[in-house]
Amino acid sequence: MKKRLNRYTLILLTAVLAGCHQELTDYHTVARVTLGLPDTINVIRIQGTMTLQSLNTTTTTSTADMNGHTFETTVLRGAYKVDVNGMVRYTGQDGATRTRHYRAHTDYTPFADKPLSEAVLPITLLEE
Amino acid sequence: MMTSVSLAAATPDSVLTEHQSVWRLQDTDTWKNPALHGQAFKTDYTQLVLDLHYTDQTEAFVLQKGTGGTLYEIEADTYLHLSDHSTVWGKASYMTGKSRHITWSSVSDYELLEPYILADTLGGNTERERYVFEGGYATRLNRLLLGGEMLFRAEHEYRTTDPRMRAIVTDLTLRTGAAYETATYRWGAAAEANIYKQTDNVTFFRETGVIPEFQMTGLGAVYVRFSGEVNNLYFNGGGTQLYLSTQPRNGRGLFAHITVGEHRYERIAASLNSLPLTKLYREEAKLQTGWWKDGKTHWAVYADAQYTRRLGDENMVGSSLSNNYPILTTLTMYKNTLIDASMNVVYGQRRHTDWHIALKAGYTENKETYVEPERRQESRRLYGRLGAQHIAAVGHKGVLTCALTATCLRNLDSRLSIPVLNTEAAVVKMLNHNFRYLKADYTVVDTQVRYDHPVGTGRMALFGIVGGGVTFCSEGEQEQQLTMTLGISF
Repeated sequence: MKKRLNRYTLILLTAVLAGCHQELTDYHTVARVTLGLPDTINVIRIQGTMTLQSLNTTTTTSTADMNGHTFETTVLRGAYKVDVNGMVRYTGQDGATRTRHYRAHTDYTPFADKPLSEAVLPITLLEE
Repeated sequence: MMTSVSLAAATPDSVLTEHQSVWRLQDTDTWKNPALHGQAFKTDYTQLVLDLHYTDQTEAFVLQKGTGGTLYEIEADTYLHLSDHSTVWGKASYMTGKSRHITWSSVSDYELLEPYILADTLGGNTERERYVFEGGYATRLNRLLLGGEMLFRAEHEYRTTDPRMRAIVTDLTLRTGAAYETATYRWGAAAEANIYKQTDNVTFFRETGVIPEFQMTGLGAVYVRFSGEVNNLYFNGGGTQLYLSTQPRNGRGLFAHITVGEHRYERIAASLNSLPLTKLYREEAKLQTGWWKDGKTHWAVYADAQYTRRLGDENMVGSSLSNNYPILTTLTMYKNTLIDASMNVVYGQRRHTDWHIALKAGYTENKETYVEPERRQESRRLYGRLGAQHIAAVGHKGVLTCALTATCLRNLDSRLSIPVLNTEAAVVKMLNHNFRYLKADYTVVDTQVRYDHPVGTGRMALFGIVGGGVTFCSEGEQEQQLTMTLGISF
């Protein structure tokens, strides 16, 4: 009798616990931000720092790891404000080589797709 | 079945002993099944009561619960056998009063909804009102028992100084149960459905004194984007629970109660086009099993284990187009596990008087984590409780009931880890304050004295209860409690 009770209890608890809420643990995604460079320049070398600020919690992460003109970093999924600051050395249409600061910014970009979220940010070249 | 025994005679069969004795009251978990509640008592009992309950802590042990309160209540409740087969019970009560120095919580039912609440640093005293209506019916058809019950609670909590919070709660529970009697055992199963709703808003009358209201998301994390001026919230929730029990019919044997349930509560920002911000899930499993023996001398030995898992889902919200906020993704950011396991022994005798002693030794654990940036709070403690109750006749017709309980809670280990640089200074202070009390040791002493005096020739009796308790905390602070009750029973 006791054995039957134990068996029924186990079956019931398993059935009930199986209907429990599943944790949603896809926390991170890879955010790939590509800088949109103007057609009029020929980039020799580019470097920069990208700062991502979460719009929901205001915590920031930054990376200076550039691959060509693309940044990649792992972030918590959500909505972000992106700021990029750096320098670019290029040859212009007139053939002269220049080194200028550049900036890129967006007030809102979602990084929620898994496994990769992409965004393209056009840069603004700053006056010398 | 109706009884004509005097209500207040302190013999083992008296009505008062049956309804007040700590021996019967350990069955309160079984009585959640309305079919079994119909079998709870052989005698009828009705009372009308006026209550005063006063609590005061020298410093708030939990900032969100305040330093105490003064509550007045009027309550009528009854348990009646309509016939040999059916029982009816009901309760209606109204409570009013005030809670003192609540900070970091602009909602009601903090323990139910935490950490997903609206909070501010200022707080204050709140006025409270509560209405409760409960009613149930149980009937017997040969060996089958059936029952149904409805419980309703409405609460209103508000503040008359800035920040003027206002919370309105409605909580409806419906229960239905059945039980089957064999020669020696009674097997019961009941199901419960709950619907819960709370609306909150905070307003400021003084324009220069406006402070931000934070949307708390767990262990000091704040949903910054929607904090500050989103002061209109509502909570929608509910859940289901299942009760299974088995108990011996002839006064001795193995008994077991199992409770499993799931509840969910969603926090919705009313002013943001009803955007759901977070959802709290609570799953519980409870087991109580042991052996009891009834009779002139009776005892019970049982184990009590409760496991609760709370998960919080946060919605990552995108950019709004004409006040329409898309939800990019939902992530489980808050996790909380609570365990309470104890061994209990109850022993007593019912001869000239009715007396009992109860001993409980247990372990509790509370683990909370927030995923990113990582936050963690853990505490584990051991506790022991010794209680005694004595019901005896006094003079010609009076009955005196005395009860004394002493509880000791000792901290085993505890830990708090928060990313201080990513948290507001005021929030860090709040977390540190609550943690100091979470990991403290406590000693609680409670006493209660009740005196019943029959009036007239019928079943009516007047009674008064005076109770007091003190809690000593190893942080050097303490809590005092005082209860005074006046009532009529018949």
